[in-house]
Amino acid sequence: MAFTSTLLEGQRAQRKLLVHVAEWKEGSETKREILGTRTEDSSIEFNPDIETMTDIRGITYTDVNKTEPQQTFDPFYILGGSALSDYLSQAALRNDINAYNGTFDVYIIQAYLKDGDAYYAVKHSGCSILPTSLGGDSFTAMPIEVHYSNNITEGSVDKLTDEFTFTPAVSTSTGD
Amino acid sequence: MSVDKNQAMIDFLLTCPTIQRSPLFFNFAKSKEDNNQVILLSNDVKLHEPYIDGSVMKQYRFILLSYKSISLNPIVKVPGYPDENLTEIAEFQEILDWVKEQAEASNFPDFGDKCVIDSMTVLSDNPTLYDVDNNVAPPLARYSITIQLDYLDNSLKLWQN
Repeated sequence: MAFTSTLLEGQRAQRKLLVHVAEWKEGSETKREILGTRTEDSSIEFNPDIETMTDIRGITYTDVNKTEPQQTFDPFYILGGSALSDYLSQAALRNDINAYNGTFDVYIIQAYLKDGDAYYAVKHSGCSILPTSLGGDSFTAMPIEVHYSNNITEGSVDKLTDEFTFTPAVSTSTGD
Repeated sequence: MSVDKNQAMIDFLLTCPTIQRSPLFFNFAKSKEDNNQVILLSNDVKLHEPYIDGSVMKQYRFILLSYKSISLNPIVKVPGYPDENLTEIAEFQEILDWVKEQAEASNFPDFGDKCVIDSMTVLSDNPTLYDVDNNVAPPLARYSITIQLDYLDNSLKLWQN
């Protein structure tokens, strides 16, 4: 597929066009939820492991050995209708770390890159989403960290709702 | 479909038993005892908090005024002779308390399915003496409370769930 940008020349992409969706199973039911509701600012930190070497000519060589992408959503509120906040807060109080260790698939969708009606997306399989604290002042918050797996399937989604269908690209790339 | 928030707020206030006993006006009202008047405040867009999913936290604020007769007589501690000024402000306090009760019970105005009301706050614990209208005889006090609603506007949200 050939994805092209829907942005005008020089136009900045609005933050809402970069979408993060968590998918997990509870029993036999698969659930999905967009991440970032009531979060003002959140970025994927790629956390590259970089090794540099400068030779005797003064030329610097840089090797990126690996990346360990991670993203924090803070605040992440306990919200009515949020199955993810229910799931994670209960797991945290039970200290059930297996409930969030590698149990999530996380889709990252660039909604400004389209091919026909399809939006460019990658799926990180087996991610971990863990709450870092629970509490707050007036409203109960539970900041979360998303640890991306880099087990990546490239593809597209057909719509911007929880009911989307993810279609893998013909050639699938897997990071290491 | 977008909802007229002013109308929604008026509809909500009209469910208050104390307000039901007296006329309610929007922005304009005659100086008459027991009239209640809603005055819409400008809700500054600079106070908007945009979130990364496209939703925006906004504020809706207004002043509720109540016209009350005044007494210039000194307070006397005689059973059966309550001070008029204290009685009048206590009546307006009932409205304030009612708004707080509704907020605590999450009983909010209906801003439509694109908006989620987070909180409804009366910005003071008691009515404030706004001013005294000396253009009418007898003069009337105007007591005020300011009410603020914080709501999440989902109308520009990209993701539909």
